[in-house]
Amino acid sequence: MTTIRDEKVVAGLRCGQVLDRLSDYLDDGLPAPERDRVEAHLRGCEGCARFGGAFRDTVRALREHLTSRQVVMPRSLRDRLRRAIDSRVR
Amino acid sequence: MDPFAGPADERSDRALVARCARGDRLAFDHLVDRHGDALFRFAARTCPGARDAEDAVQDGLLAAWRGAGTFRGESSVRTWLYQVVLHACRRRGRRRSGEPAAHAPVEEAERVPSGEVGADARVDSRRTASALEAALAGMAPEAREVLLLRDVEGMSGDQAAEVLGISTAAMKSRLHRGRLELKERVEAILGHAPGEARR
Repeated sequence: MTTIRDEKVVAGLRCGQVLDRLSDYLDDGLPAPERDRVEAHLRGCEGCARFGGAFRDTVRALREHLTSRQVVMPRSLRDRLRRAIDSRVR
Repeated sequence: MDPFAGPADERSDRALVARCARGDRLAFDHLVDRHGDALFRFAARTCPGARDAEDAVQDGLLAAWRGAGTFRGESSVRTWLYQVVLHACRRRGRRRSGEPAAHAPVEEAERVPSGEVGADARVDSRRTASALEAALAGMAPEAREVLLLRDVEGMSGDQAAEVLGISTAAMKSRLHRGRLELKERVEAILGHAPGEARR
């Protein structure tokens, strides 16, 4: 469990408890009552809202920027694979 | 392959693997057509070098060809292919342990025409993508692998855990630590969080 200096308790959750739940929160992996408490904490805690926003933006950027980049298996690799299979089939 | 591919895709994947087990090269070509680009993208960011990524994909896919007859269907074909390629990447990584990593650049730099509307946004986008690639390349393999599987390849938690050979709970813990580390690394490179204006 994460401990943060000068952490607050908002909506019954400490900042460290919110930090520990950020990934589950982003992945829609929290039960509704727990998700509501995390959201209430984020609304009432400027530090967690700022940190959580940057955390969310990093994950979002990873999903958007690297997934959208077109990466194609090199033709030469396909040819090598075909040759390797052919040599085994013969 | 579409990360949201449904049961019909999985059924036809299984049919292709069954044909591979009978020595059908055309079926293997179809499997490579479906999954090759994504597997190569994953390997290029997982292996220590560009040549290693190609070799790992070749090793992995040949292992899949040889092992098609033993595929029992306990996991999806896609998950199984990622497993064999990941194992090949790890073998390459172990051989090169101690050498500096030089992950494959997965895309050539894109030209940004000067004066074009939106050029600043495109430059920022390129900087963010480059920072993410650099940050990932600097992370430990365990952290990088889970981030790639979940957030880049779009696997579910259960699928990513299966590829990594760990429990879903362990995967979630590893993923969260990885995301926190990635955030710190990207902010150190960019000087701000992705999405924030440059300082």
